[in-house]
Amino acid sequence: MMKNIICAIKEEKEIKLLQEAGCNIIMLADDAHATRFPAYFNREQLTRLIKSCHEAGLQVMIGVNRIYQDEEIASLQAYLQFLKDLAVDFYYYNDPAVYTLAKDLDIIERLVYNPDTLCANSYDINVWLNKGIFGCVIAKELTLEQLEEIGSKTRNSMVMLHGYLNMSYSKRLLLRDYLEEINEDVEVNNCFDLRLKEATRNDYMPVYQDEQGTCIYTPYIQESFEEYLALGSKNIDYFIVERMFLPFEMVYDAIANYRLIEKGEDAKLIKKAYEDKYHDYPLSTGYMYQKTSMVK
Amino acid sequence: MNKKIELLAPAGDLERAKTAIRFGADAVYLGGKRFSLRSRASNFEIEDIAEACAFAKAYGAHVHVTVNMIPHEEDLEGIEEYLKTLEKIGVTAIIVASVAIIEIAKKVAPKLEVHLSTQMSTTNLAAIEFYKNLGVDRVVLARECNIEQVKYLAQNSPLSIEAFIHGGMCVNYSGRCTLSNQMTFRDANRGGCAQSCRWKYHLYKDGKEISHEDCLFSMSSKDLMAVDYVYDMIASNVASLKIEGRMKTNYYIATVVKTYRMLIDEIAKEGANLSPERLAYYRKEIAKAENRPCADGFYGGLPTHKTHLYGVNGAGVTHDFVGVVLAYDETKKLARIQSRNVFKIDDELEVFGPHINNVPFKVERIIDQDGIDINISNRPMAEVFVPIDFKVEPLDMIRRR
Repeated sequence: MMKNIICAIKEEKEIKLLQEAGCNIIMLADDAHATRFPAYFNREQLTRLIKSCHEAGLQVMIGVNRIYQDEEIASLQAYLQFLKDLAVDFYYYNDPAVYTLAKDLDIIERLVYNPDTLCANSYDINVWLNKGIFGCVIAKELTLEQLEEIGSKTRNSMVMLHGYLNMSYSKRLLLRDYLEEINEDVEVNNCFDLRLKEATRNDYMPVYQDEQGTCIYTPYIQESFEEYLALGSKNIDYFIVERMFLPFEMVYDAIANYRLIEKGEDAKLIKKAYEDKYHDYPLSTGYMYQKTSMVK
Repeated sequence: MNKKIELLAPAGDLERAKTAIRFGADAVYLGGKRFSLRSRASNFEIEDIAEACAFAKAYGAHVHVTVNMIPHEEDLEGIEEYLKTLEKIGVTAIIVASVAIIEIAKKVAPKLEVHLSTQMSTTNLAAIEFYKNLGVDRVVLARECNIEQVKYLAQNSPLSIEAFIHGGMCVNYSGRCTLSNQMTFRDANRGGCAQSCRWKYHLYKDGKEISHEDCLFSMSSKDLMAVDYVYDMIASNVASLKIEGRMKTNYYIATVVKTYRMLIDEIAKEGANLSPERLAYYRKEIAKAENRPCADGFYGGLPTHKTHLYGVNGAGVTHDFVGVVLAYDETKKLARIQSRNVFKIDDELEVFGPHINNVPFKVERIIDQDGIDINISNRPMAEVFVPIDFKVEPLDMIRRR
């Protein structure tokens, strides 16, 4: 059975290409209610993009993944109503406020909960599923074995399949503040070319700041070519390819490769070819085989 | 105005729990050996939690237990028995960061109040509505709320609201960060946080370094100090004021708890906010134990570079903690003191405790346990005798002025 591959776009023209590669759910967002997206679209653009996705047979997942303050709730409510009118397929959220509002709009069965770290076991995920939502994104700092176990005990669970993994979400404008401290005037908002390097290490972590705050990503690009089928066999049907900071060609190739693996191509060979082609990029299996410790 | 507002203090061990309660906390929060964050804090065995509950009860205080790890599949084994035991030994509330644990607690230990941890980053009424329907009794707000938002939530929430007033601050939304996982393989959300955010980083744009070598980028936040906002919180019906710091020392706990106790009591007595001079006094009192620079977090609005630490992290305390009173002979006016830091003849010290506020004295004599006069007490934990001409009580603390 064909799995679902989800990916955000940076430009409108990418929709067709992503579909060609094998992506079947497109992620979109506006800048008022979402964060950590490669591009934001206004309502007019969203109306057009959602329509064209649906016409092409693609489903649409909208990011409403910020943590909101009360003064923003009315706007969020109106936005959800706008999206409902466009028959959006999935809503990707972080703040339980979205659930409360979605309940009033009768769209909770379209909600996908992604609180970054909080869905780290099947018990928590099943509490949410029992509330009627569609599914949850499993925390990414788990091993393959843990992901498989959670997948097998839940339904419609989603995992981060490919790309840089987000590690932190701060409401503070950390880069702006630092540059003020050192008296430097450098444009940092909505830039994709910023990197942090810990003083004693050699790897570079992408960092992104917009009006909603600052996010830091792993110094590596997770790839899961050899793990894809195993995850799929454990009841995981939805896979997210993180678009942030990656060149489009790399995203395109990754999605196309996962589809080839699904069709029976050798995952080892595919991984090797991808690594060879993108040898300048820091590829890794992330936490798939790396447990983290509970103690210091 | 909530004149009965709860002052909630951290306790890394039994000694600190007792200190916090003696110095004026209405409740303490502490972690058990399992299911809790802050693995480096000296977390409590069940017997210790029971003793803390009994001690708290004698003072009319309460014990909250952190069950705030974000559990992995295997971590939930034994949770039902643990929660039942906490309920049985007299714990008032658990602090939780997992919707599964909320449901389990409501089922197996219904007398335990469930307080939603700040790890859940709650900032609005619609989210509170969701948690209310799950059975949550109180919400610990995210530290990202400004004071107007805290006031609005406290005045309109169907659940009681707890807000931080002092201590360390995560620079990211709490509970959503995996910097430590990535950089040290220690799970930030299961007790292993290495505080990688406080390390130093070079910053590059388009491959070119834009950071300064002598002042590298860091995500280290100054500690929160909300002395100036306590009146607003009391007036807007916040239920509980929380001090962060289960890793902090006994001296720190005593100083910070006593200061906020006095501040709350003075505001309640006045029925109004205090003068700038009085607020400055309380800030100065806290500086006697606070070893990291402080700021007002998000309460005054989105933090700026002035609320961050980029260079040296420590501010240094203004007053050194030098000893604890073990006993006092009123006839001889002689205190038996356990030494915690060096002090010597002619030092100007002061005593503070639950019933005594910064009374000064000069060290005229120091007598060791063999009855021999010495000029300096420089052996940690050594017991010495020092004349003090006013009454002090066991567990009162002594610091250098």
